[in-house]
Amino acid sequence: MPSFSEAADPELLTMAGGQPEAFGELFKRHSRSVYAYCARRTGNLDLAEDLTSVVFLEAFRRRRKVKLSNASALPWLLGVANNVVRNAARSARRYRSALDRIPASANGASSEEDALERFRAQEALGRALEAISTLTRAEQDVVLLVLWSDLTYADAATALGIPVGTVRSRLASARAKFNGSAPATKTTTTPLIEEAQ
Amino acid sequence: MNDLEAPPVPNLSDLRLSTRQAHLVREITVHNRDWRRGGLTVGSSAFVAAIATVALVLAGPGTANAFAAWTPAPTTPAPGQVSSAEAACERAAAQPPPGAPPRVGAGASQVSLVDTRGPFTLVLFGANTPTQGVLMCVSGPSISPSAHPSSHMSQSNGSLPAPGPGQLTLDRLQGETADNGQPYTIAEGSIGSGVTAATLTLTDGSKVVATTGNGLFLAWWPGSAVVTSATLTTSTGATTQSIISPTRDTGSSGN
Repeated sequence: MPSFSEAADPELLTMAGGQPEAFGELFKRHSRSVYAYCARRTGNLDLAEDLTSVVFLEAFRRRRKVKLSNASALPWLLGVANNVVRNAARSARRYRSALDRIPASANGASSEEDALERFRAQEALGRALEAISTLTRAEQDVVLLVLWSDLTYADAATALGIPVGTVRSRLASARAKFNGSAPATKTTTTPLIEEAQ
Repeated sequence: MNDLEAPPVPNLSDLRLSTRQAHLVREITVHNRDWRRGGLTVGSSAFVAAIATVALVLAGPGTANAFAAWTPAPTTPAPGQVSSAEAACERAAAQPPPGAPPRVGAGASQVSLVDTRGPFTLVLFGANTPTQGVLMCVSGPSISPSAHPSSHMSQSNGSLPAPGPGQLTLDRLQGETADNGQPYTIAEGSIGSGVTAATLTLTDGSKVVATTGNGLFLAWWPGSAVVTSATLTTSTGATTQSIISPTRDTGSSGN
């Protein structure tokens, strides 16, 4: 039996039902990217940590319904993350008891220096979210995945379940709005964060 | 911010991530049912074509460790232990969980194999007879009743290969949890002609001696480890066979 660290993501997903540690290896590989996505989506680092756990719990629940078309599970996981963040309040309710069992050592700032860094980072995240609030939610999705999470257009299309051409056109639209060449209608990102909290 | 560049996100420490990784694995292993949509159910078709019944009965008192009295090798049953297990199985069969289809009682089936490990009794009903009622009954102070189809239903339909002489086929791994959240795993399958004993080696390195008879084997163990190999004893000696474990079935319908 190959070790989990040598197995490809699709193999780990297949093994996960009988060997939970295989899904733990998927977490090890992709949790930082999922966390960064959740943090940029919500602007709240503490919430992003819990949402990261929720994303993987939800991904485990859905694992039998997915057939990875990519060697990496990351596009799929970010697609799950997109839905989890969008429905953060509902997701948190479903996994409330699971989140309550997370050890305290996995939460919050671990030192004064860490707390300061997190505070500054959250301020920057807030400014970034405010900046993209002129984009539609669909445009924000592709900005978050392509420009902020470094997915390819194809992987972003996989994550969102839309054609690659739609990813391209939404990104072009987002860039045009951001550069002021197209009329912008401000949309709210803040309510999403409030809902999640 | 005057362009669409990504805002920085502080890295999570390895300790924090490993803590959450351990939490995830523990949730998947132990608390899966708490948040799984629909809970534990068994497909109705399993009950239509059923031929076998498996019952696991906890006969002893509950303890902090639900499996403290478990043994890695089968033990001789105490007087009345097996009959009590059969009766507990029938009671569980008469009370299906909410949403599950009505079950056919286990009493109509013949007992094919009994595995006892201390106070625990695992009974396979009717695996070799065309009877009805496929369910795995779990009862006792630490284990709530639940039901699952036996793999031998599928075998009767020809979908599972029969093992060759001196070989073993692991047909099913059933993942369960005791009331206190401790997971355990049940293995069932078939043995080829000539096999007189089988010892399973698990992914955590531990070994579990299976109960064999009537061309079948049964074993179970605390935890969620799966099988990597089986050491089979025949009249010509012992051989080790690599096993590709089937997915540990946790009875999910919503995953």
